[in-house]
Amino acid sequence: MKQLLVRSENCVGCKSCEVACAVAHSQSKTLFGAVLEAQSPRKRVFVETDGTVNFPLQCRQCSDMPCVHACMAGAMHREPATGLVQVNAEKCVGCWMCVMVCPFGAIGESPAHQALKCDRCRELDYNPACVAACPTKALQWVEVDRFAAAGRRSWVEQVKEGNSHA
Amino acid sequence: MKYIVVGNSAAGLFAAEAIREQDSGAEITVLTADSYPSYSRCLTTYYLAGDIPEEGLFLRSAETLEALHLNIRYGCTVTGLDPTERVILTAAGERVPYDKCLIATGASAVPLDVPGSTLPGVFTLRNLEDAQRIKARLAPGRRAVIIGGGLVSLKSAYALLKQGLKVSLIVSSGQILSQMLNEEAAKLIQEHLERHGLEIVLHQDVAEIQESGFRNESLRWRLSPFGQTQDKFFGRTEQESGEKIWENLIAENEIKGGSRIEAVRLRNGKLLPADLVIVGKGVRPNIQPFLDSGLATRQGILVNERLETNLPDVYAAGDVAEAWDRLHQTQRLNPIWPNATMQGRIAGANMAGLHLTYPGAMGMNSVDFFGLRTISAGIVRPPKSPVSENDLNPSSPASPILPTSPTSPAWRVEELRLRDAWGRPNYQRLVWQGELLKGFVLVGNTERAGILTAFIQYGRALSEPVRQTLGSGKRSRAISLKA
Ligand SMILES: Cc1cc2nc3c(=O)[nH]c(=O)nc-3n(C[C@H](O)[C@H](O)[C@H](O)COP(=O)(O)OP(=O)(O)OC[C@H]3O[C@@H](n4cnc5c(N)ncnc54)[C@H](O)[C@@H]3O)c2cc1C
Repeated sequence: MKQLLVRSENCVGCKSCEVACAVAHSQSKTLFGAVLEAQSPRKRVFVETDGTVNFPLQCRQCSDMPCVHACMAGAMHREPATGLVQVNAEKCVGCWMCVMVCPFGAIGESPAHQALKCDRCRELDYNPACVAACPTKALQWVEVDRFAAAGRRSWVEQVKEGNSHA
Repeated sequence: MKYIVVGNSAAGLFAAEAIREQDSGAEITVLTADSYPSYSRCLTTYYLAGDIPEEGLFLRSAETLEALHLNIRYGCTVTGLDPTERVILTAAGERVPYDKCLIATGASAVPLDVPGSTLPGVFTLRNLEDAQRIKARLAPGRRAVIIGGGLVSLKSAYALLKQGLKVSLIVSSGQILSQMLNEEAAKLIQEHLERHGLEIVLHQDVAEIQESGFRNESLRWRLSPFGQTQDKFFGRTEQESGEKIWENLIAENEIKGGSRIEAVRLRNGKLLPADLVIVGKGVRPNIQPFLDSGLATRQGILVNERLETNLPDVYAAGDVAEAWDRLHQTQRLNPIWPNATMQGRIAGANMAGLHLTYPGAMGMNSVDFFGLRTISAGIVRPPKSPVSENDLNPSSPASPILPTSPTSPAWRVEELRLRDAWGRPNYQRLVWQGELLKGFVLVGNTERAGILTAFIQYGRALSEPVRQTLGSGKRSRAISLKA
């Protein structure tokens, strides 16, 4: 199973991932096309800084899935085929219960007022565009041991370590 | 292994899924009084509002449910449990054996106890059936009175406003949403809803729901042979006579709400015209069937950190359970969706042999009325006089009893009051006990809610820079680096 590996020490805060993310979730899938679209595509990764450290933040695929438990519409769910937590846009009613519990603040809002989060580029056959766009390899898409990834580190520990399987 | 799950709502469904995940060959039987596959009660108001169709309420697709291989028995009311024989008793007189059993019977709406409260046209909202009956009476211009100021009442009021009804909300206490919000935040939501046409009456109770004598009389009159002749006289056509008139009149009466009620009389004597009344006076755990089973109960069924009851191999989860509350540091009812699903999941996994510990419930909720978002979590009102004057208002509901000792650090409230470019509120309230974040309320921009929730659950002292960043209301996802 492949997961996103975040190496925040490599992140220079260039935000290439943010642009690539928005483009990857646009209709046209090209930067030029994306800027012309009526609904400007929205990014699902956020490059943040605490003043000294930069890091890209997106859905970390928490093993305890607080958003899935909080979702009262059955929209936030674990996709059986991939094991990934995804939003079912047909079911989301925009109640923001997921926003209430996401420890990373990684859930945004779509133009249709629905929960929006990193889907590991489902439409691109799970080849995350942010990874391809990252010039410093702060974001990597790697095969990891399921069990290592399911470690029960707290969210603070995860962020502190910076290097985290997400 | 024979697993029995009683109830197929939030807790029951998540438990059944967790059992199946652990034990692919297990025999899982779900006994439920419901007549529908697992659906979301929380979404019934979205259905009333016309935001989603009835199918939108169901939590799982038919295929997903099928793949779980559950033996689900709908319309099966459980009446008891015999722990020595290890059987569940049903209303049909069956004795269903279990190896492991989960009680996830949830809660029921508390009915109103005033004259007229059982008249047709007076509803509580807990089930899909309730929602269907209410929905059949919705039409623009009709008048609805909603009794109670809690979440279900407010969500119902919102739905009915969206359907074009004239809605009045009657609240006993001095604020709406008193479980979820402090008074100042409640006021912001109240003003917003009032601007959208909701009439809110605080500090008031209902004395009586009055029947519509006039309509009944007029109906009886019109259905009488003389009435029919009169109707004909006033222009009804020949074809409409007899049976047809009868049918039309019934239908007409139905459309008018089939309304047997006409008005709600308040304690202060005021009469509010009403075609429809919804009572939202809170919920009560469904423990009745188990009262003589030896199960330890208070208001709900007491469970330990593994979600086990005092009876061997009997677990409880969801609205029916009093599970550990991480902030109040005691077992407590916490009847909200995320607690029910999480408890269901952990109970299910433990029934199937895992040893998961429930980290504890806490109160939290999220609402969005006409685009104004509100999220709160944890303790929103400190137990003692806080620094903020807002809470010194004697009319605000009593604060919950919280563990305090002479040595425990003081409570403190920190507030930010901003407005956005359109003048809409952007309010933040943080409740601290020493260096620990214990609760928050956000109105307007709720982006950082999850991070605040995580800091409450983190349960440890936060450093000065973190406290400052949180207090400033800035959105920083990097903040946990400083924790
Ligand atoms: C209108 C409305 C809006 C809500 N909005 C929110 C919200 O915004 N956020 C939030 O967090 N929560 C909300 N809630 C609360 C939320 O719905 C509950 O916390 C949740 O449904 C609890 O799930 P549960 O599985 O414990 O119990 P319930 O949902 O109460 O389900 C109980 C189950 O047990 C079955 N059952 C009961 N008695 C028996 C018996 N004797 N025999 C057999 N089966 C039985 C029932 O048929 C049902 O299947 C709302 C509730 C309502 C009604």
